[in-house]
Amino acid sequence: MTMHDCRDRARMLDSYLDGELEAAKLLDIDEHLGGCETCREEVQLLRATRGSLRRVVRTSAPNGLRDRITSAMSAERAREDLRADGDGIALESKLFGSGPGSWRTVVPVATAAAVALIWGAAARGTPTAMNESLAGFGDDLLAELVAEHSQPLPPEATNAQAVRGLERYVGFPVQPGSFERSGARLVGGRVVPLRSQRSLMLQYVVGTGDEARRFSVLVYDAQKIEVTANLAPRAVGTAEVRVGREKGYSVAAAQRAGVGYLLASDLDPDKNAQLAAMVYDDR
Amino acid sequence: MSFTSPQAAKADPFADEALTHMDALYGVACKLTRNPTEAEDLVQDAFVKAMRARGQFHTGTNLKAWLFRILTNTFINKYRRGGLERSVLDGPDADPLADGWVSASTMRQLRDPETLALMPLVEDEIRHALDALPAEFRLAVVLSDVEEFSYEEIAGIMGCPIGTVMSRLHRGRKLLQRTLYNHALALGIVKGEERVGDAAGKAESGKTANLAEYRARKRGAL
Repeated sequence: MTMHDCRDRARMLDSYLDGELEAAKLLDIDEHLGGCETCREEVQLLRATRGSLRRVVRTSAPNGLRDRITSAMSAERAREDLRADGDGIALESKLFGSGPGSWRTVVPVATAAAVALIWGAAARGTPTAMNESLAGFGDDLLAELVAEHSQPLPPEATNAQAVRGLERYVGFPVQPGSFERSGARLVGGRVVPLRSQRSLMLQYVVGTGDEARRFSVLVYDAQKIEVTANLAPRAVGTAEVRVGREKGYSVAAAQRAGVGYLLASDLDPDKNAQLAAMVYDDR
Repeated sequence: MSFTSPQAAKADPFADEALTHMDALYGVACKLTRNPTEAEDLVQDAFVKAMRARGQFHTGTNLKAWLFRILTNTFINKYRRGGLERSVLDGPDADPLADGWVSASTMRQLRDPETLALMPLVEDEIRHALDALPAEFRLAVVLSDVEEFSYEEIAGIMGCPIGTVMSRLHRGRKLLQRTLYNHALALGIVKGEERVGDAAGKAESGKTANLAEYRARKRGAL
């Protein structure tokens, strides 16, 4: 038995130990182990190391983590329910029909359902009801958006991955790539406080050379923040967005999966609306 | 404020089944991040992502492996924008120390005949030895030795070919062994022996046999 033989088999010892060896090689190793004390000890040492590793690595998660995760998963599910029941009516009955002990569920999500109802009404072209019930709430979202768009602060994150990393601070999914499908280029994003919530301001450039134009997108948790501005519904393909003007800029609003998007640019309103409708395109 | 009560989520079979793997995910997350707080965040992020993507999960396939893939990707995206670090030992793995570098009797002294584990004094060191491994080796070793995934499953989780999994496992385990051996040598649990490698191997063996120098090196590494 030469050292060379053992070296050739060294890798196979791993597979042998892991039960990943094909039958022919298994017999070969078995036979070799019968006559080679070094390799036999090697296998024993690998087994011993494995036993120790299990003791070191296996652990119980700390108390409280399960609850945190359960809550986070439920929140995610609620967001999805909202997407599934776009007009909010089915969601409402589902929520209010839920069993005892679920009052904590009902209150916050009911607010979201109300937002969805308002949204649905607006999208169907019945702005009257919205204007009457919500008049006076102001358009601070649009003001914020346009202020940020016209005099942007430097972004905190300057690529898609880093921008997605801001998800953890804002608490809703961020997909900066949605708008890049239109040929736009992400400049960056930053977290902005908005009505005591955290939202995200994304900056993009679309077009090249002299044609290059900036646009900004305010991304917010639509379950916590309502858009009360008087925007007109507009169809883009099969999607509906809401459009308007603010201080000379084109603005457009879209909402998907519980996340709201407000877009501002000095592009013409049609092009601006098309950009906003990108959020409805599936990945 | 909690968005929904934990009670409400109990009705979700997917969440329930996923949560049975929480301890395993947390254990591996601790080894990936080397920080319990970050490990908690990582596990939570992975579960939320799993919830979001559960439509892509095929019932009947391995949920645990799927969750580990999400955990690994989340870790890479969040903490290592360039992917798992490249091994510092890249190149041919004709590492003179890698194969057959200690005798059977020395190897025997490293393990505890009673417990099928390492000698207690050596076992104390394994946590540090594991943490010192490059992340890609550490993950492969933990997924195989602790979580008992197959090579194919590990390849899926780590997003690499099976051959790469085997190479990472082999070299990861060898590096662990070498660290444990050096530790045992320094503690006098095993006697230093003539290394069956080339001259460079011997030189290094001589270095690590020096207890003072070994300790200084360890302090420097901490």
